[in-house]
Amino acid sequence: MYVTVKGGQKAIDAAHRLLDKVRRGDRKLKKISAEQIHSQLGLAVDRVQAEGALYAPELSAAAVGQAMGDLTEAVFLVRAYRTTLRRFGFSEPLETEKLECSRRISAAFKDLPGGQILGPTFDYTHRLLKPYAAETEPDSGDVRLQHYDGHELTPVNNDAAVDVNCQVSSGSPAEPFGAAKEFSSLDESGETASSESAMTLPEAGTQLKETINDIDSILIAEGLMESDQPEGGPLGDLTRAPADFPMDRPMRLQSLARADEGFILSLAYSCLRGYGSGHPFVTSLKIGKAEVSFTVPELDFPVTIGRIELTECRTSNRFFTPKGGQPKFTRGYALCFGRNERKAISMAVVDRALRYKELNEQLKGPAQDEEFVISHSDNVEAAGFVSHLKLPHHVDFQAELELLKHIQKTFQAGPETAEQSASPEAVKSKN
Amino acid sequence: MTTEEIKRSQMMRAFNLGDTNLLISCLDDLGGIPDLELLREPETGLIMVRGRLGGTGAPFNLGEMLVTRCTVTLEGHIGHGFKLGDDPQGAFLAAAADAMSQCEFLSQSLEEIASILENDLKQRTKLEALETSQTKVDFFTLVRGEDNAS
Repeated sequence: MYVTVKGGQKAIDAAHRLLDKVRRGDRKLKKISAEQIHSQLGLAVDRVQAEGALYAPELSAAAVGQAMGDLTEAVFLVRAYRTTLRRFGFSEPLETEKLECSRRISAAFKDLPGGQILGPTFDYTHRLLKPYAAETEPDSGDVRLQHYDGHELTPVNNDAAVDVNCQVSSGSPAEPFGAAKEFSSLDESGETASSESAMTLPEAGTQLKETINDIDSILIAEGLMESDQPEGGPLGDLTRAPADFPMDRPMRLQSLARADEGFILSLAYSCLRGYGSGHPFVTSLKIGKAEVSFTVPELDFPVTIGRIELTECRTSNRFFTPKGGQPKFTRGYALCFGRNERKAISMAVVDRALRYKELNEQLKGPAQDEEFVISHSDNVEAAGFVSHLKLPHHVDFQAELELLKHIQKTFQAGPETAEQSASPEAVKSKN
Repeated sequence: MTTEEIKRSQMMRAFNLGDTNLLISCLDDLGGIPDLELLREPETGLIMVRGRLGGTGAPFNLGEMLVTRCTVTLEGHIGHGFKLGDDPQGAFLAAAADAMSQCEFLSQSLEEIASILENDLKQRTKLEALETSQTKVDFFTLVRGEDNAS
């Protein structure tokens, strides 16, 4: 029996009008703009970018606003939007060793090359809730910076015209356009900044921009750590072909990069508690910006088309002895859009756990089972299927109700007939 | 890549990454943009960004990025422009600058503009690096003095 249900349209329209009203909130307060969300709720935006698998900060900020801060809903909006766009092609693989880091730490080595750079971190804060309104504004305008060795640097006004005469200290790459040209100044005043006031970057600053060998590349060179897997067969793409198992590591990483943070976090936690491949060391955790290069089909050379923010995590794990080789540290790897360090650490742990077969380990928990992990990690898919439960199932439920009533009736007729008719075979034959 | 290609790729980088307002003011100083033909109107689309396993191994697809691209011609020279996000004006200007840089009578000026944009970019990243450098941990070791205890 199929019953057409009509009459919801008016209610739906009214519900959406009400949604708009609720979304707007108290009209005595100003509406928050997408720019404000982007600038002040950046980590929410970054999570939407990572799980939406689309690097688009402004759009993701708009999605966070439209979804009233429901990040899973925002991810859904972003995913739906991207399906309307054409794909121009594939970038050159990112060179994450060249990441211009705003944060770079290692839990395995105190003195990693280039030093431990904390960046803007929640770590070491006391997690004391401050009344939001009472919080003091950080200094604006002049950014008076003090170098860690104590000497004060020339104040720099962020908005002011750019001083092109700044000294580029030795470590920086060669001038790209031949000898540095003297552009008298872009100062509105037309005055050339004197060499004293020109900002000279201390060495520590330039180091951040150089390629610094990651600690694991040193360990690899010394034969203590497994080297990166070289290129294998054709590269799969989850956005073009459905997930198929067994899945290779590149596809798994693509899937984990867009996976729900909460799910991956819990899986990583389960690994550490004994349901997986054990306790890793974070050899490097980096947040920074990388340039994306793309080879325009009409040109034969790659061109930089944008600069994006990423989080990368590399872990060192339990030894493995390959056939005919020496035991070496194994590795887990994570890379995701935006500033998402909790996600990245979890992703590296899960990436390593999923390699259990390749590394001859025992299956100890769900985090190692790729079909379980990959099939349930996407929050758009998961939310879609779970949410369908709230949609009308009126007819299905009616059928269950009828069945139950029938079974109860036979129960009343006597226990023997009841047992027979409640058995699955009996129910099947009745239907 | 030939030296010519390297040079063009570096200039295109500056036009693509550079600040659009700065590019506008530089082009205005030059007398604006000459009459160009649009080969491909500014179009927003996706580029699949790739990473590498472990950082240096086999490539994998990380996720897509939103870009706007545009292609123009000027006196037979084809210029390409790309901007992160939805930015038709920026992509058009970057494409125009790329086409202009290939015209003989404009190439010198466009080289200078690219250099201005490049310096501006450097300045910005330098500021970021400077702020970050102050969060570098300065370890020091405490002397415990056991050696002197006896």
